[in-house]
Amino acid sequence: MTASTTLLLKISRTKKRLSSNTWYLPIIIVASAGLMIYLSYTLRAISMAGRYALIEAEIPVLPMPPSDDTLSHFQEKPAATIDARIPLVLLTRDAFIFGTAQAFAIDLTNVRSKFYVPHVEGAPNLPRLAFEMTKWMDMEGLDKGPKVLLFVPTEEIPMPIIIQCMAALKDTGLFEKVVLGGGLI
Amino acid sequence: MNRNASQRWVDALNALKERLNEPILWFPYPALVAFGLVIILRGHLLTGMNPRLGARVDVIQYSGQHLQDGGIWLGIYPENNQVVVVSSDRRRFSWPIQSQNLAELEPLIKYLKERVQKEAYSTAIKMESSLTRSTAVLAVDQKLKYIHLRPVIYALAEARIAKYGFETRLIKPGVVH
Repeated sequence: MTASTTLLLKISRTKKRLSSNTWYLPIIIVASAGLMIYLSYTLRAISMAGRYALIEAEIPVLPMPPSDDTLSHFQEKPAATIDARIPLVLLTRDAFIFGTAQAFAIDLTNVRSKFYVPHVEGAPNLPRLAFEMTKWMDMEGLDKGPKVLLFVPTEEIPMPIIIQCMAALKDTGLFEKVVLGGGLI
Repeated sequence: MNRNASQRWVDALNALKERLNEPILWFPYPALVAFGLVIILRGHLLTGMNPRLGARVDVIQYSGQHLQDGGIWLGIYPENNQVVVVSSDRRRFSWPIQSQNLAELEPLIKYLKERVQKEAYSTAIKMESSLTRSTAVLAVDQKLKYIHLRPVIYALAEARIAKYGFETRLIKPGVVH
């Protein structure tokens, strides 16, 4: 048998194999199933959420509990109350300024009621703020009051800095609730 | 001329007959592919869909209290000099980035009130309450400043939402930044 005959035989066999379309159906089914599985995994990978955390803040409300005329006479009490002696931290482009809420309202012009913690090379000096506030709250007896902080950033402060400052102030353990204020300054 | 035209019609009809007589094996497959796609989309996108999909929000990386499921998720990001707010159910609200007009917040306030009402109704029907369900989760893009967020906080207050928080991406354990 010559080489050309072998080649012709192979071509003939290949033609015969390809002329039969009985394999088309399984191939199409397997390809469709493969495509579906691939799309399924891809979409699952896209739609899976990462791991996320929450830095909590609060909006103060005016307590107006409805009267309970039943036998129990339940009356809801506020968890904490904001008054003039609540600590307030003002965040500007240059520094933190802290004091009581009264110091930023009635006593706004009194420079001795507020404390100044400048930023270091443009970055908020949170360790020093926590240190100074701890000392100040201990001296003023504010650490025995409600653990609420009014945090008032100025308008041009980027949100990542505000979120990190809020989280860091809560991490000091001095405050449990942070109220984000605005429009005061 | 007429004879040629009629002959063309006859030829076309014969060709059509011949084509229709041929077995067509592929015709169910487009329908099957469409059916498969619908099943995948229904399984992965429509139910339990990640609300962050489609929202161009780049939140900061910071460790904090792990975010529980539920809550009123809002993604806030700037786009073409507009502040865009997208919700977990694909509602979209926007206003100019320099806007001071509170009337432009009305659609967002109306939507938030409806969500709060829905959660309150659900709580009453189920006779169980969950603080996380009525907490607003704000995914704020890093490019935004505080002035851009203040209208959203105003809208939350108008909708009687007292508890909210900022979403952060948790850093994987073992990764040092």
